[in-house]
Amino acid sequence: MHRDLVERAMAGDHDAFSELARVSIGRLYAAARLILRDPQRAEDATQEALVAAWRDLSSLRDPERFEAWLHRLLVRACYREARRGRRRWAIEMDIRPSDRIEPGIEPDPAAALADRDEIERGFVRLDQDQRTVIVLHYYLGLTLDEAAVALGVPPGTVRSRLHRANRILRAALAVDAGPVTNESRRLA
Amino acid sequence: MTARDEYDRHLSAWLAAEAPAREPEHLLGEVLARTARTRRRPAWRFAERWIPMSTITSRLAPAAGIPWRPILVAGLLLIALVVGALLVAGARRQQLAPPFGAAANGQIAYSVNGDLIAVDPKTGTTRTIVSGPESDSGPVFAGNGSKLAFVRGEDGNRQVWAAEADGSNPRKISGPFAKYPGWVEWSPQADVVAVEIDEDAGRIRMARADGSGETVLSTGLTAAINPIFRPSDGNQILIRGHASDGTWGLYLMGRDGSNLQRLALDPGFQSDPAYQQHRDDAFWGAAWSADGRTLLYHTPESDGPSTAGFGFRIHMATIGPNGEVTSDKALVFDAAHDDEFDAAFVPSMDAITYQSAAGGVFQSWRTSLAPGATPVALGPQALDVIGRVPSPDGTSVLLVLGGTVTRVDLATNTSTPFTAATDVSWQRAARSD
Repeated sequence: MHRDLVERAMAGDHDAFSELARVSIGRLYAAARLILRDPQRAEDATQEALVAAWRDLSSLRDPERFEAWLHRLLVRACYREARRGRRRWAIEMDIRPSDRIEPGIEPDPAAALADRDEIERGFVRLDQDQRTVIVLHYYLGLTLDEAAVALGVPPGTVRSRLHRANRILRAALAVDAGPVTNESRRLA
Repeated sequence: MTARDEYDRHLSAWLAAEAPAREPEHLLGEVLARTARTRRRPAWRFAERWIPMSTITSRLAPAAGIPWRPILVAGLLLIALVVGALLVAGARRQQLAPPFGAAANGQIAYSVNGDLIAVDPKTGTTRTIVSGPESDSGPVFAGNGSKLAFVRGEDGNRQVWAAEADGSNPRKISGPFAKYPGWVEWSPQADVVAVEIDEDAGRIRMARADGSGETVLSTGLTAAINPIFRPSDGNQILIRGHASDGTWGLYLMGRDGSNLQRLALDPGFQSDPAYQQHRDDAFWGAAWSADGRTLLYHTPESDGPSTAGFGFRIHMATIGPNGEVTSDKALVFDAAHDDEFDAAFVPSMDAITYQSAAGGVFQSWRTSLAPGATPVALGPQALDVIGRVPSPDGTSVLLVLGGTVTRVDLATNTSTPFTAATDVSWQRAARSD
């Protein structure tokens, strides 16, 4: 992130903020889609995060921390969106069959990507805290300390959430690699 | 490659494939359209803004003596005029609230579409107190309730204005500035407004409330922000300052800028493992007690007394008349909170309010400082910093949560939505008892 752009935006230069938003918006939206699993809510969360960034930019004390601060705003916006639509989200979760095939996704011939469906099945079993930490760490590439800042929780909490999330994902991979049991179907 | 590496790689690859290649085309345009019409929140509306109240006795200006002269009628007329003026001034003084501590509730001001609105909290009656083609926002009542400061204009031409509390006699007192002032603070006597703007590195503007000009105080620091007057006479100003050695601290100076000194708070803070990483977050949220002897602030702490690791912790320090720090201790109300910060005394001075953050969730609290007291949660939780505006009589508090305002009755701890913009200020009024 260009420090001079951040400093200009902090000083109220909307053009500079526009450039920062243009550079950031793609990854913010993608992260929000992964966290919220809902295109419309991801749009709303991304928009809310960037508007909050512009509105509250004077509270940022160190321009070098703009990106981390933006991640934190996005995480907050995602939680807000999820809370706003908790009921709808729960219904969506409930109707997902454990062994559904996503329309339009062709089987991948590569062995490494053969786990795609299994990972997805595990991913939808994660709660929002776990999904968020997975996205921050494995998609945005944040260290655990950076993820802790974005989440506003201690690093120890991030580690325990990540551990639980990985355990669920690994279990999904292991279960789905073997015979499908009634138990695993109920979990989905 | 280990199984763990392979798992990490598969997971990252899946996330990258699952993520949309790019955002919807309309999204950036919508964001920029919204930001272009979104007013930026002034820095004084952030957590560090809310300061404690304390008591003061208005100092009466000495009345000019009337010389006795041979012309008896003229003398009597003069005496009658002086007596009349003193009676009027006395009546006015009686209507003023004490600038600190408990007071009666006056009107609540906020901005709507570029005008300033005042609502009577008892009746709910609203009226426009400042209007016109200009954009007005950010009202701040003086501590004695007699006047109002606000910001007029748009970016590129921001000005600080003052008016009587009813909005009459508006006059420009400072500006123009390129952008929104960072801080606006009334003196206890309501004769001066301390103004902090970003362009003024290390300087504080003391704008006279009658519009007759301003005095710029140069601190010699690389930054001087958040000026607050020390109760009860306001002859000293506390600022958060940034020195040339790169450290932030709380500084005390005379109202005329003299005798600047760094308060020796939080001994050994530079050896705290959290300090080097979070040095720019040190020493925020200064708030005085009513008598000006006790100072609350928050600063980053590593593990220390907390089980939640690094985070803001509230400190309470005792400050002597010349800035000597005679005690300073960290207050930890719940060691599992990630952060505890933004503390202020309630108007009655028998308790403090503060807020916590845990797991990204913010909560306001009120607690007595008596040993063993249990903090009571105030109002709903939020996913962002909560602004607090206490009622002058100490019976309720306005919580600014995101874009909404909620009134919490402290006796019943019930929350009621309150129709107001987030730039809300509560006027202090004289008590009838």
